[in-house]
Amino acid sequence: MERAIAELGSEPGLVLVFLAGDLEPEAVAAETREAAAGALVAGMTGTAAIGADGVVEAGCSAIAFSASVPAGVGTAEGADGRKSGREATSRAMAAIDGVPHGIVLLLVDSESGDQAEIVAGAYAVAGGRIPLAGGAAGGPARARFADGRALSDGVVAVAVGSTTPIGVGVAHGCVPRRIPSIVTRSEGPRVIQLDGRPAQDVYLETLGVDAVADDEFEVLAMIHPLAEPELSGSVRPRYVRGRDGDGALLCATSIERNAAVEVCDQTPDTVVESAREAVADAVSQLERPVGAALVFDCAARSAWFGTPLAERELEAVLDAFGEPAPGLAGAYTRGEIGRARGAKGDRNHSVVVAAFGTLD
Amino acid sequence: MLSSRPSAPSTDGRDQLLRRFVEAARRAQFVSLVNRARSEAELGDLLTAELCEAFEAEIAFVLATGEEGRSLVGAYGLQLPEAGRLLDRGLLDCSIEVPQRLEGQNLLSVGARALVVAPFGATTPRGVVGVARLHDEPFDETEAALLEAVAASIAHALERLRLAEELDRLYRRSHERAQAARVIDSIADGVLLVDDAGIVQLWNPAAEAITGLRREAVVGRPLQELIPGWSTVADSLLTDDDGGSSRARASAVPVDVGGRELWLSISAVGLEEGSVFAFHDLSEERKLEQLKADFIATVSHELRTPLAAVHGAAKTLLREDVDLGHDVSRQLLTLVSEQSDRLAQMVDDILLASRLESPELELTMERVDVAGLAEQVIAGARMHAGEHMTFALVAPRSPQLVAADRDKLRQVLTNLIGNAVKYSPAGGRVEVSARAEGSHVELAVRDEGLGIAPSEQRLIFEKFYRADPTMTRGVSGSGLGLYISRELVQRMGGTITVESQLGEGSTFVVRLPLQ
Repeated sequence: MERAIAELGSEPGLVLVFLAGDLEPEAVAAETREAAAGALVAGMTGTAAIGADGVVEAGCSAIAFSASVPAGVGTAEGADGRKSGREATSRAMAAIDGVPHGIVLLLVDSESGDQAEIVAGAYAVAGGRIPLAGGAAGGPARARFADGRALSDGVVAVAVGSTTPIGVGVAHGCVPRRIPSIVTRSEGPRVIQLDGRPAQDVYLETLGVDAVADDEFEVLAMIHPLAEPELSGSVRPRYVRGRDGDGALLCATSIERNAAVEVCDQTPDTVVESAREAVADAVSQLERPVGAALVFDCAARSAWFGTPLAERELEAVLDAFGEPAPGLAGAYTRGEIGRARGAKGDRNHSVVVAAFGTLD
Repeated sequence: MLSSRPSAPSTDGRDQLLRRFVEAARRAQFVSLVNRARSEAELGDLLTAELCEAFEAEIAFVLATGEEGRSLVGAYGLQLPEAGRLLDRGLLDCSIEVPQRLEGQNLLSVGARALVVAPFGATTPRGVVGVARLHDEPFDETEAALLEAVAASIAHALERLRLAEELDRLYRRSHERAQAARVIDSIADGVLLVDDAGIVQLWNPAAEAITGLRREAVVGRPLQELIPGWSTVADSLLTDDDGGSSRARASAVPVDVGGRELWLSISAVGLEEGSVFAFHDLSEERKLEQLKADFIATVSHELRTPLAAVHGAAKTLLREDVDLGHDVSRQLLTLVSEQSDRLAQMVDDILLASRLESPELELTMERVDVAGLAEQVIAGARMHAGEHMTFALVAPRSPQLVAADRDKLRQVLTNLIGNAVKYSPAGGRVEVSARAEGSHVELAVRDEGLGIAPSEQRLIFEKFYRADPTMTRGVSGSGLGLYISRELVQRMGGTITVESQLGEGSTFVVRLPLQ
């Protein structure tokens, strides 16, 4: 944090911090408040942290925003995800009222509440003109930080204002097999039947795999998500977290009955390529050169392929930004949030890049 | 040469097929979603959120139109003031008959760049569904066609919800009616509904119980036929004295039901369906009131008589102009003493009667020889009764021991033997007998006096009840003696009964547990 503030070269107004490894959340929260020197602080833990110098498996990455940048932090707790999303966003956005452009970063918890509901609540306040980015905390400590406190539950929203547009790019490396199925029976995130048969059977059959043990299935699911095809031809990946004894697939997000789904593949190349796409998409929305960027990357994308892929992916990100390299921070997450177009922003197996233009 | 074998679709062909597949799935998804909605608000919320997702759009809305103007069924991606502006006729044309695609810079005044709107309602336009993008990506024909399909399902869903609401309303009304009927059937008050022609339409079980008139005999008939004078009663109750108010007012009125007079407290209220009457039976209360009035009259008389005697004797004794002599003076003083005793006895009875209503009365139970006690009471009665009465005690030689409060049992026997004397104005024999009967001793007091009518035998043990309230037979009393006797005997674990025939005397039997 101290390095980030020093690199800023001016009085900080907001410091975003991403932590990884074994840590004591309350102690970290107190330290971040002390290091922030009066600036607002928000952050989260990740499976690993992302910084301009590389992937941080145990440690911290941080980025500081000048005090001249309008910014606000809001928190909300409770079981009603939509309400929490709405309240936290509303509190954060009060600081950027009247500012022409902005972004809302949502730092959430994958285990408490429906991520889609949190995004829906935030969208109800932010509307279609404010992009959303963020992710769900990961790592052994799994916590969010705001106002010098560590939160194990609820939502942290950070609003950052700007005189020029802030870009958000979302991409994934999932390649659908183009053998679509129909969800003929589902209960929220539990997909029970595909094409009128046990979903698990159809899933494994499409992958050409016979019966597998639970741990093997988990690994398989990590690189072969389901995806909902869009009318535009793109797909929206849905993380398969596991299966149950009734032959159902347990997904990270609700999938409606009658939805079309496809089984996807991911390869190291498609993952790396998607990182470039996300950066390019985010940068294309800017009117000024990129000055800083945040990356929220799905932990499952590199978990299977290992750290070398993560390093390769990060190199691709930095390469896509070009020179001069922007300040960079981020985390590997357990669910991503990214919305620049459309109303929905809950993502799986994706990389979300938020790019901020340089100040005047 | 052309081959008849089907060839594998090209990549473009596959993509087209896939898009059609996705489109068909989306249509099915929308149908499933709109059918899941249980209210218009839920339909609006679910549908607009899903439209945004399916069309990758920032805004979606469903507007209903009707005679009362536009109403918002649901909106997604719009702040409240923005959604409110959709109700303005100038902003959006809802009279379109086919889907419309628009492009611009500030569509809907929210900065939308692309808009697609489709009408719903089969024959009559009932509203529009719209989807808008803030980013620069126009909607294509396929998307317009999908929205048209969604619109059709909205029309059906709204109709289904309207019918469901109507059904629900009917169900609730029927449920409320059934509930009201159950309440009316279970309340203790009689309730009846008479239509404008005076015909009974409703007659609840309590009305049956109070009047003894069966529902089957009453419903469908004019009540005036069954209860003479009912029309007058109803008219007086329904007379509008409150300046048009339909509040129910209660009146206590006597009615003749099958030759039986019932005092009913009736309230009435006029409704569109007729007049509703609710009533409860005041006959017992009226009877009690009558008994109280009789008691006050009797007690007044009973107190005044000895008081007059005492007063007269005292005045005479105080005269200085007359020398009364020793004998006369003694006679007058004896009179004063006896009448004072009578007054004291009466006051004691009244006090005891009031104490019997509270649990504070305590008995001192002991072994009592009833024959011995009866002998003492007979001796006392014999002294006051005069020569026209004879007394006999019939009892075995061995003592008849019961568990009782001696003084209270003495009071019971004194009452019974006193009554036997009182109700034998022509004189006669009073026989007291005592005998063991199983685990009890039966103590009977038999006289040859006036006797008691069968209809009165049940009532004579009630408080204040007197067999001869107007004292036509010259018998005085407070109406408390037998009530006190019954209460005392019951507290001693016994019973008291009477057997009697008019003109042939009475027998009171006290049964007490053998000790």
